[in-house]
Amino acid sequence: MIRYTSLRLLQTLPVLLGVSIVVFILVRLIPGDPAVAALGSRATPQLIARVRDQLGLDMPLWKQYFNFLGNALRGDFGISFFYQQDVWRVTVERLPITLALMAYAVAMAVILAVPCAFLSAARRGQATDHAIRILFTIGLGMPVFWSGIILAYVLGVKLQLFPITGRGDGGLDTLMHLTLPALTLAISISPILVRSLRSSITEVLASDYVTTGRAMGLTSTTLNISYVLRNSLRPVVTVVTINLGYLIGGTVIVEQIFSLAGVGSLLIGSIATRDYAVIQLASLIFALLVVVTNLVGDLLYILLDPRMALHR
Amino acid sequence: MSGTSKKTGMIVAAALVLAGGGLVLHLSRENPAATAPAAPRDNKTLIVARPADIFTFDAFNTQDDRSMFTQLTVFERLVKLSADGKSVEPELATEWTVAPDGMSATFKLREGVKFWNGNLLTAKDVVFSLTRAIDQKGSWGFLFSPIKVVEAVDPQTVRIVMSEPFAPLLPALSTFAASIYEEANFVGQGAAAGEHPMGTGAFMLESWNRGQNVVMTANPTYWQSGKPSIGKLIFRVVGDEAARTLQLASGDIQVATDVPANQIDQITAAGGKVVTVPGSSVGFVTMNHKVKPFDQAAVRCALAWAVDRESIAKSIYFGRAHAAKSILPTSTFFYDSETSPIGFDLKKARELLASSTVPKGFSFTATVPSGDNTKLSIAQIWAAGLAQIGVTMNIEQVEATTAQEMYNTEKFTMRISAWTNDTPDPDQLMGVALDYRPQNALHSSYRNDTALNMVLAGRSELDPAKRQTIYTDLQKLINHDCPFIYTVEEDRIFATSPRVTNFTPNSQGKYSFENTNLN
Repeated sequence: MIRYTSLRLLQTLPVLLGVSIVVFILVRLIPGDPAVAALGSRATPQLIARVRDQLGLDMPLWKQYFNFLGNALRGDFGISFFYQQDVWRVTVERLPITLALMAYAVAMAVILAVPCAFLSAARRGQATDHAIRILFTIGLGMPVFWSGIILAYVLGVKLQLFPITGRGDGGLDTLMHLTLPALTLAISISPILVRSLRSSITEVLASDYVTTGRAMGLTSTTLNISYVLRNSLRPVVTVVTINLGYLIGGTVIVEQIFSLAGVGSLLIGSIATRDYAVIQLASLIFALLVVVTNLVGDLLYILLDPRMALHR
Repeated sequence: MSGTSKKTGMIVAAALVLAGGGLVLHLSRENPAATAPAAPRDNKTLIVARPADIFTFDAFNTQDDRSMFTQLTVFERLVKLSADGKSVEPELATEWTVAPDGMSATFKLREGVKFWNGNLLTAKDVVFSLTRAIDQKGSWGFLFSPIKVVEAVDPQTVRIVMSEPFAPLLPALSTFAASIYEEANFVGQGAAAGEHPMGTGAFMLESWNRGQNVVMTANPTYWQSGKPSIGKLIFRVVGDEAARTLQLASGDIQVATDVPANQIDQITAAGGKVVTVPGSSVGFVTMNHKVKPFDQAAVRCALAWAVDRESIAKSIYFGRAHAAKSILPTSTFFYDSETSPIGFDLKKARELLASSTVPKGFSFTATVPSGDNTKLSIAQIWAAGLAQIGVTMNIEQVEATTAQEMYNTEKFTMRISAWTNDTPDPDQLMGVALDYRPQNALHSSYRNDTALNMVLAGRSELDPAKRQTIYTDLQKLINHDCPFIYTVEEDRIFATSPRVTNFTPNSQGKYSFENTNLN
C-alpha cells in the first residue's frame, strides 16, 4: 500500500511538469500581457516596453520557462505582478478557504444524495422515485451563478438564516459563512451522485447476497447499511473524483458570488490581469488537487472493497 | 475483515472530519488581514462594494476608475470641483492668482495641514507631487502638457510656470492626477510607494488586502474639524453585480457602485436608495480608419445615423440614459447640444452610404468585451439598424484584456465602449480624441489638422466666450466628419443603504467620503 501510494505520488511529477508547460505557453499565447492589462488604453509603447523589461517578458519564451522551472524547484514561484507579493504567499493563504468550501460541498452533496438515492432505488418506479429524479434533474439544470444568487436571496436576505458574504471569523462562524456557497455547489454535483448511486443501489438490491441476507432474517437496517450501501458506494467515489474539475469550476463562480477570497476567484482575477506567476501556481495547485484526489479515491476503493488491493 | 474495514472507515471518516474542522479553524488564524469584518462592527463603519480591486495609490501609472476614486479619498489637491461641477474651489490652496499673460499661477497653501504621520504639508511636497504629475512619461502628463515647471516660492507658496497660457489649469489640478502626497514618505518607500501612501485626506490607509478590500480609518488630524463622521471606510471587492445588490439588501454593505439600471427597482423595493449622476458617461465607438471603408466620412456618418439611440436608452438602460448629442458628456464645460447632433435617420444613412464607394453596403466586425451584456445589447440594436441600410455588422465578443491589446496595437475594426472625463474641461476628451500625435487619435488613425489646431487653440485661449466658440465648432466638426460615433449618455448609478446621507458623487461620478454620514 505504501509502495503503491509512493509510486502514484511519483507519477504526479510528470503530470505537474506537463501542466506547468501547457499553462506557461497558453497564458502567453493569449493576446495581452501584464503590461497591457495594467496600463490599459493609455499605455504608450515606451511604458509597455518598460514594464515588459521589468517583468522579464522580453526574454525568449524557453528562457522564461526554464527560469520559472529552476526557481520553482527551489520553492520560489516569483512575485505577483498585481499583488506585488510572493506568489506562494498570495496563493497558499487563499487555499484553506477553497479546500474547506470544496470539502463542505462534497460532504453536503453526499448527505443529500445518499438517502435520496436509497429512497429512489427502494421505491423504484413509484411516485417518490419520480419526484426525487425530477427534483435532482432540475438541480442539474440550474447554473451555479443562478442557484447561488437565489439561495443568497432566499436563505440569506429574506430568511436571514446564513450570512451571504465573506469567510467569517473562524470556527462555527466560518462554517455558517460557507454553508450557502457549499450548498450551491452541492446542488450542482448531487444530481450526478444520485443518478449513479441509484442505479448502483438498484443493482445491489437485486443481487443474490441481498436476497440471501433477507432470507436469513437480517434486519433491513443491517442489510441496507452493511451490504447494500457499502457495495454501492464505489461509484460515488468515482463520480466525486471525476467531477472534481467541475467542482473547481463551480468554486470559481461561487467564490465570486459570496465574496470568498479563495484560489478560484484569485485565478479568475489573475487571468484578467495576466498575472502569469499567480496563474501558473494556482493551476499547479488545482492540478495537484485533482491528482491527489484521484489517488485518495483509489485508496478509498481499497477500503470499500479490499479485493481491489489484490489487483494493485 | 468486515470489522477491520469498519474501523478503518471510521478512522478515515474521523480524519476527514478533523481535517475539515482543522481547516475551518485554521482559516481564522491564517492571514488575519484577510478576515476583514464581514459586517460593520459599529454604526460608523461604511462598506462600499465595488467590482474590482485597485491597482495602485500612485497616479503616475493609474488607469482604472477604482484606483482614481480611492486616491481622491486618501489624497487632496490644491483645488477641488465645486458641488455643481461648474467651477473649482479651494482645497489645500486657500487662494491663487493667475498672471495676466496666463503664463504662471501662484498658489497659497492652507496653514497647518498635516499628513497622517503628523508632518506638516509644505510647498516642497506640492512641488514634488506636481513635478511627477506633469512628467510626460506618466500616464496623465498630457493633462498638464503646457506646464514647464512647478517651484516653491516659500514654504507656503507654490508657483506653476507654463510654456503657453493654459486655460484648463485649475480643472486639471482638481483631478486625482494632481494629488498631493508627502515627498519624504514617497522617496523612503521606493518601489513600494504606490502601496504605502501618505496623504492629508479625510481617511488614511489602514490595510490593503489585495483582491479583497482596502480598509481606511478616519484621519484624526484632518484639517476640516468635525470631519469625517465615519470612523472606518472599507472598499470591498464584490465582483458580481447581483451579489452587490444582495449584500446591500442584507445590510452587509452600505454603498454599491456600478449598479446596473435593471436592478434599480429591486434595490428600491428592498428599501435601498439610488444615487445617480446624470450624464457622466457617453457610449463611444472607435473605428479604425486604416480599415476601408472607414476612411470615408460618408460611411462613418452613415453608420452613425443608423444608431437607434432612443431604443437603446429605453430598452437597455430602462430610461437611465438618453440619446447623446456630442462625444462630450453634458456636464463638460462648453458642451453644446445645438451643433446639429446626429440622430436616428435611416433615410439619411442610406443617402450618405449611396455617396460613398460602398453604396450597396458592406460587412465588418465589431469588437465587444466578453461578459459586457450592455455593450453587446447596444451592438445588437445597432446591427439591426445597419441591416436596414445594407450593412452587416458581425459582433465578436473578446476577453477584456485581449480586446485591450487589439485596440492598443490597432488590430481592430470597430470597438464599442464608453468614456467619461476626469476633468470637466473639454480639453481632456477633445485632446485625446483629436490630437493624433500621442496616441494616434485613440488608435483610430484619424488625422485632421484643422481639428488639432482648434484643440490647441482651445487649450491656450483664456477668454471663456472664445473657448465656447472653439468647442462649439469642434462639436460641429465631429458631427460632420464622424471620426467617432456617440451612442447614449448614461447615468452613473450607485445604491446606498437608507442610513447613508451626503453621499454625493461629482459630475464625473467621482466620490469621496469626508461629508458622508452613516445614521
